[in-house]
Amino acid sequence: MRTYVIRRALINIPVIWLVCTMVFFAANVLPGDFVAQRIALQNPISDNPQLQEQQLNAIRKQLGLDKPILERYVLYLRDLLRGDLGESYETRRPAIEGFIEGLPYTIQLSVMVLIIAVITSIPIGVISAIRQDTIIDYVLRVIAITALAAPNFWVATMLLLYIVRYDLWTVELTRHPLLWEDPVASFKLFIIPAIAGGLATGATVMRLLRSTMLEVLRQDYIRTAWAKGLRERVVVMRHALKNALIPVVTVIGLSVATLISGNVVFEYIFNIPGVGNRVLRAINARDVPVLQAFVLLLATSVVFVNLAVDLLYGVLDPRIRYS
Amino acid sequence: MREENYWVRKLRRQRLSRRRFVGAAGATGAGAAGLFLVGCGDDEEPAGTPAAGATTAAPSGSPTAAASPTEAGPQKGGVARFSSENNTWDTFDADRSRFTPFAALLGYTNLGIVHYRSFERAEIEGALAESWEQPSGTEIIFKLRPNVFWHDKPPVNGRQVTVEDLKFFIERNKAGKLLDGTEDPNFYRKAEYASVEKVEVVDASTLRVTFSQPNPFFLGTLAGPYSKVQAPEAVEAFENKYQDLSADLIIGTGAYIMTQFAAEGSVRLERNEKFYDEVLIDAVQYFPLFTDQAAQQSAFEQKQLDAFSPRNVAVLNELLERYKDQIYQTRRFSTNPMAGTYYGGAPPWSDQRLIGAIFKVIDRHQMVQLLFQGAGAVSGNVPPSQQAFGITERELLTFEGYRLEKDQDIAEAKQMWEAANGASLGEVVIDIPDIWEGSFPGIGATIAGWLQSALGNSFRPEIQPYSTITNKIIKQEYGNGRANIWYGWISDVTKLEPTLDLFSIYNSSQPQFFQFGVKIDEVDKLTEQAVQELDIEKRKELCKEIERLLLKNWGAGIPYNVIQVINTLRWNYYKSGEDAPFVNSHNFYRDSWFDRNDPTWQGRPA
Repeated sequence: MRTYVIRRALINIPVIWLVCTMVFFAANVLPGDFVAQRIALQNPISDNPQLQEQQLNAIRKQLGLDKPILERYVLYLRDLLRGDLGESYETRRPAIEGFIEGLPYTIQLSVMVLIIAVITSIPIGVISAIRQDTIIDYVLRVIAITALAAPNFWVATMLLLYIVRYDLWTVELTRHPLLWEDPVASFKLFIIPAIAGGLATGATVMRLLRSTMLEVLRQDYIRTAWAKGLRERVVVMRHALKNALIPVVTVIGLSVATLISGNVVFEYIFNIPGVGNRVLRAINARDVPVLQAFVLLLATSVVFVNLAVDLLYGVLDPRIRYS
Repeated sequence: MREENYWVRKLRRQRLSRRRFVGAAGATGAGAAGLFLVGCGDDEEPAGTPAAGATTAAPSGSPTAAASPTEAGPQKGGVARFSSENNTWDTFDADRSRFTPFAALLGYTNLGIVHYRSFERAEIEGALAESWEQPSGTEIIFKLRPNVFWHDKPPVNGRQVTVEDLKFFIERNKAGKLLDGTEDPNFYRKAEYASVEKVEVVDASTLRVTFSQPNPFFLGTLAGPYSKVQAPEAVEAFENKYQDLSADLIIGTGAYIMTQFAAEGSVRLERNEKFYDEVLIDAVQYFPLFTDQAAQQSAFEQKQLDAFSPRNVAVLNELLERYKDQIYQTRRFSTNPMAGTYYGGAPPWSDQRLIGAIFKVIDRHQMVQLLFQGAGAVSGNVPPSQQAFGITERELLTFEGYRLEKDQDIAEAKQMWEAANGASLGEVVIDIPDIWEGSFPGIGATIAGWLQSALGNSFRPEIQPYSTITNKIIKQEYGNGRANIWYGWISDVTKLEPTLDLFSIYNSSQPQFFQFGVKIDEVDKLTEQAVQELDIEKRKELCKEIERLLLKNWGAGIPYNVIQVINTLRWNYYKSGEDAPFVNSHNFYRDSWFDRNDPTWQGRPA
């Protein structure tokens, strides 16, 4: 097990390096660097064309953008090895600071999305499977497909406008309190994107769980369990569900990884200052150090969540061994 | 100086209608170019409407609800809460910044020597200078306002303002150099101080500025949004740190002290208790980046924000209907006209028939509908935000390319194109800025479609970042052997008077002219005459004449199209001053207040 974990961790290093390299070059060859983009946005028509280039060069020099791209890449890797992820062109603060500030919001939102996804998908998936082809099954499947088909950003926007329109509760859109700062206000805000995101994620999980449950319920050992006279609850929960959960855990695990970056649309809509919102801003502003830092950290979190998911298989199915 | 403005009258008369072809517009001088408004895209809050204790004329908006000051008069207290969509910063050095969001912050925190009391009336008043006199065309004498103090932050620590501070400010801008003597091209306004010959401290309260030649624009320069005085010792301490963008670096003399700043857009400004005048609102809070309109609308409806500028006219109308008698609306022009540029000094666009045909085909009236659902106006080379110096809308509609009878324009364009053998150009590329296309999806294809169906060639829209477009403009790569042009937002309109800009853009002796290269002898003559003219009324007439000539020459390198009208909604409890398309935050302290007796104040979160 230990060897397996070390080996997997080592394999992840070139993956992360590759991601960093791709992001570095992709971001740096985008037309219009940070400086040019900034100046151009403010004044597309130059007041003094002869001076403009001097102005741009002065700022580029200040930010180290005057160096050749390969030199910048080498310096970037050197700083990375020292644990320095660079400084934001925009805020002039260490790039990692924004990530650290944004992470609690993103994690809270992701966890809430996941909770909604799990508490809606597992019971519905199980009921739908054990009541296959009944009216309950049809209704639940229609609900799941609807949740999957409706764009989650649209659902989130509609929920927000509906809540405000009918004054159901105050949504703290300017303050964005976290759960440990103001639990009630935080819940009232985050529950809206969590429902929109959770239902969509949950619908995928529900459909997967239903099909794996149906497959498991037709296995011999389930027939044996019924023949032994076990109660339905025991057969379903203890014998069927546990085995049906393995592919579901894979999907949920992957969802955790993608939720961190995938919540960008909700953070955007609700103006939540999470990681996704900040990445989006960095892309628009060509703030390359921030983009690099965030992608590096997100990529790292994704590969390690994948590792954790793999290890979880062993917990769910004792037959799986790591060597 | 009072200008009975065409647009003001028009806006007062009419509400914007989806059906109207030529959208109404804001007032000439109306409205704060909101805090976080940058080059492209627009704007948000600050100051806005029903004259609160202001002695000005009625504002540009047409309030839909009672919005006049209560009998009790302005009340003190409360924290104003705004948001915006754009936060872009270059530096916190006022003399070296050119980003409007920072200029808007400076309006709260720093005083200039003078500033605009009203853009609508083009009225300048003293700020750090209590008064001034101009004994001759080459001399201005400023009298320092007594008892003005710097904010109590190190290294200035709340000391009293001196005449030397004002002298330092003017001399630094004139020199365009850092304290170590290095020339810095980022002193963007250096040219505006070029005619300053001498700055002398006459006595402890008097400053004399002498010019090498008469300079009718100097007061306007000093009233500009970036012309805010910084303390010499602060400049000395922070000159190399201003790019760090922290609240400690802003040490001004203005009505508000910056206590918090984050580049993402989180800003807190607290009342300066030692300000020389009464400051009504306790504090101003800006929230970062409301990128989504639905969320911003929700925050406004729940009174977490005091103002909201809906982009969608349907949303605007729905809110006005739903909150009838609870909210009011104001209008002003955007700071960014939409236009394009081309190089007319060489083929193909030196052939006036070719560029003229394109100019005439562009359907500006339809653009107002497509882009703004009617909440906009067609614009000539002097945009309606500077209307006192430009021709009226009525006259503009008589020019080719602006006429309501588009069929006639198109038929004539076809003839011109054919006569100049336009077909031989082959495919014509139209560059569209990425963020413009992002804001108005499909606009590139629409423009290309108009041109293609009228002129026959293939017109291909190409999405480009602004930096690429700017680079091409500088290198004269729109035209000049290439069959291409671009359309999008052009530079901010930051001045009430266009005279200097008309001179620097269209006069063939100026460096900026070479980006466009359309030499018109009469324009050269008139622009030269205008910049030397001391009588403002004569300058207005000259600018109008210049605009006519530019329009007859298809924009002379800058074919203007349209300009958006920004509609802002405010709760009735929030009283504010005139709405202008220029930075107006320096008037916020005086014009804005909360009427806590207004019924809408109920339910506003603390």
